[in-house]
Amino acid sequence: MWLWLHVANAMSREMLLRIIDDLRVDVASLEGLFRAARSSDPKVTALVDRFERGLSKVKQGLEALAKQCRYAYRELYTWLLFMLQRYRQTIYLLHTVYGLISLRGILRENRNAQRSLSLADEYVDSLIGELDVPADFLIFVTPESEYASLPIPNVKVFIIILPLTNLAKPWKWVLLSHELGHLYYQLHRDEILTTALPAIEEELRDSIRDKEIRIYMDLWCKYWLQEIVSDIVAVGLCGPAYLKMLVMEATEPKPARVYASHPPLDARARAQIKYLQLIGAPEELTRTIERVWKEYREKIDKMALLPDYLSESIVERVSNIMADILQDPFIVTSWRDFKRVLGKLPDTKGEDLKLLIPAMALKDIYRGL
Amino acid sequence: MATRWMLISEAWSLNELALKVGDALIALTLLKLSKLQGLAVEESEEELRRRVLAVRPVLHSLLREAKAAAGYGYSSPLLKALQREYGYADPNRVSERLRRALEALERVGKGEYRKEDFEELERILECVAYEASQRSQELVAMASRS
Repeated sequence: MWLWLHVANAMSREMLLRIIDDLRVDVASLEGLFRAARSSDPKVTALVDRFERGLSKVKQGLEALAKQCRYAYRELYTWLLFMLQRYRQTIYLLHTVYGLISLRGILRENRNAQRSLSLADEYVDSLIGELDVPADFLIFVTPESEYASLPIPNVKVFIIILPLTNLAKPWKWVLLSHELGHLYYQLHRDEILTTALPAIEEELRDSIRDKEIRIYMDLWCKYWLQEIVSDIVAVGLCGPAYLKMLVMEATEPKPARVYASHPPLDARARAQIKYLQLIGAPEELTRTIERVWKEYREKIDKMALLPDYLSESIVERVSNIMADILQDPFIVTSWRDFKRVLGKLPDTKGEDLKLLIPAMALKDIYRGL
Repeated sequence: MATRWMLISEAWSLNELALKVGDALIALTLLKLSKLQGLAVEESEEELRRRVLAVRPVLHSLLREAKAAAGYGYSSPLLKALQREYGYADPNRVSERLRRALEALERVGKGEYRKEDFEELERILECVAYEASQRSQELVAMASRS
């Protein structure tokens, strides 16, 4: 009996050790890839540093597990396997990020792309200075196929993805401010959720059947609230230029149409306009954003209304809450400077990118940078 | 934010959480084997206790979430998993279990070992670890499809 147990334990241990070896090879491959991705680009180096630290934690974790394999207790075996499965996932996730880094590396070999990337970095870094984000957070812009962002809070990294096709269109970069809005949301999530969710639920109770409330609360909590907050942060940074580029990017023939992951364009625009009105933005600013919206909206789909679960009154409650949280946004405090830059275009020399890029977007002047 | 990257980001956070809780469970198991069952382990008791205590912020954060959920009625997947585990619809009752687990954790941290504390902690941590792990895996699968 003891002999049988001994043999069985040895076999289990061997299986665990084989998995550990397999993962060690994966770690070594990723180390090689990250090493090769290092370049003269300081952002890449900073990002690689952080992920190499992550990889080294995986390595240490695997060594610790290898030692613990000597205990042949069944309960422990389960948890050792559990940890190995999680390390495999970490390796997969790091590999996903590597894909984003390597594309940026390839692009930097092209001089024009390199210049655009540097400007995009500079623009995003200057915008981040206007938000309440810890100084050691690394913001990394990289091109791919869409506007998106990947927050990785445990390593204080926030990757912003800019469509490759928009790399040479700086006026479209105002859309990056929406991605920064997602970072703002992540960092202020508790404050926003605890205020906004009860308000949303209260509104839903007035118009939605009880059994459906959960479904819509889930969607608000997972997707819609975050999108609207990100729009509000973006309009606070870039003003009407943000809404203008959002309309252009969305190319939406049905502005009241609801998507699971995004609220309808009508709701998003309403939230931005209402927010600027609530914080007491200069009249000219609010008039401009209303005009931008009207130019697109008045010619299409007049009859469509927002559904009750995404009604105007819910959206306005969210704007109200955000007006309390985000009181003096950049575009409001800099409106006079912004107008000056707007009037100076296309002469862009020496101007702050935070003002220049939205000015280009708003004035349809696409040259000079 | 496009959905794919949103899924990857959430999967990442949950995976880190599962790793932290999984490591605490290994340490807790070794402590139990050594202190309650008298089996030999090579790791120092102090080190094992330190690893178990690493889940304190996780339990505190779940407690905060459970209290908030009682107010606004929305439960995150981890909280829902705890509600299922204990059979409680009311998040306040989950808060109570979390408080008990935190008390048990403090005792283990001080070197007071009771069978019921190990059981309380194992139950709650296993639930969190498996839910975080499973959800992380599902999110990665969804991300690869989107």
